[in-house]
Amino acid sequence: MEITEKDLFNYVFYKDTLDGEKTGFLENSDLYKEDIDFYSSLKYYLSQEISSGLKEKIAQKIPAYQNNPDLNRDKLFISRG
Amino acid sequence: MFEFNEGNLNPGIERSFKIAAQYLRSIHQRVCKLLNYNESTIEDLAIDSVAPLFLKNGGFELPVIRAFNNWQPPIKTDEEFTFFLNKVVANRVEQHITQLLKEADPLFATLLNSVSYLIRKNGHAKTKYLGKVYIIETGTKKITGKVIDQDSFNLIPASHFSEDKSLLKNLFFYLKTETEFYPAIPLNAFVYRFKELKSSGYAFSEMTESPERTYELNEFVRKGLIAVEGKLRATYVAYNKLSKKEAQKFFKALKDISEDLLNGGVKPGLYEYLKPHFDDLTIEVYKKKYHYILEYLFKIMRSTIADELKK
Repeated sequence: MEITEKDLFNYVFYKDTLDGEKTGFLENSDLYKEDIDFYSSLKYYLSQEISSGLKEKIAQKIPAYQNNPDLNRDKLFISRG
Repeated sequence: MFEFNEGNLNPGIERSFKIAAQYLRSIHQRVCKLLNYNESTIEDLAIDSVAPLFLKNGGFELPVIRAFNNWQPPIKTDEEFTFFLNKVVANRVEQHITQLLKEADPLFATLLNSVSYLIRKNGHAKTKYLGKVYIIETGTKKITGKVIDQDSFNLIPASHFSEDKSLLKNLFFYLKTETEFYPAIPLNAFVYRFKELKSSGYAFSEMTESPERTYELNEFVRKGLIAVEGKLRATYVAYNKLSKKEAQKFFKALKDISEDLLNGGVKPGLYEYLKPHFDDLTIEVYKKKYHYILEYLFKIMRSTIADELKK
């Protein structure tokens, strides 16, 4: 079965959007275990808060970044037009 | 319709940083030599990797916004947006790391250029998958199967790397007939394996634009050392900028650096190379007295090696 990078990404992040046959294949095969583990770790890490020390470092190197907790909510990341 | 603009970039920057850090952790083995363990961390490298996406650098738009606007098909859902960011950051990390590896290791840089030439010459293509660059045969640029991992790639018998004219073709054939992996060759892993084999005496004349040319890396590194030895004598000892003893210690440090060049790359903190040859050399004294001299001599050694490789 042909499995693309996006299929693996969707399998971990948005399983509902993935074709049922592919989901079944990935659930019953170890072939892509490492890639799925990678995306699972990424998903977990994305949900974690960044330390204040790292926020300061980001602000030092990226002027567009404002180290203000009120601006860091991910829900503001994308707005529906 | 989704909008992504400069109104509030903070969550995007944070999310990009996290993605970059995760990719860097997954390739820790490759990047550990790039980290100066006294000052630099994976997180520092992650910030440096993604920063250019959020800097205008003379342009009208931030690169990340431009990439978003040019992405095809246009991004309409949150799922597509997350995948977009994942791809853009993975590519940026790969570019950043490759650049650092090239700066640290002129042999890697030259071989990478030679491999790129071979890819073009044979009509192959490069594609990116899970943050790494792969060489694929032709046609579609999309990888649709399991790719070979680093350990399995390093276990491919050296004999499959020995036929100059059909090197990549042989590897594709091996992947298709001897393994269950998708026929895609990891570019950087290939260059490192190639370098290792060249160091041990394999000759790959087809890898350069002068097909008759075969070369030994050890010999080129030796020429780099001869160049810095001459510079130490003529510029530093002759004009009393360094004592004879200091110059000998510099030469020993540069010899250690050259050995690392042959064995995978140079650590970024050159202080660590000089320190073992001086009694009680502190970082402060190093920065004040020796830093620029060692950096300069290393630059001469690198450019000499690079020039020799180009001949």
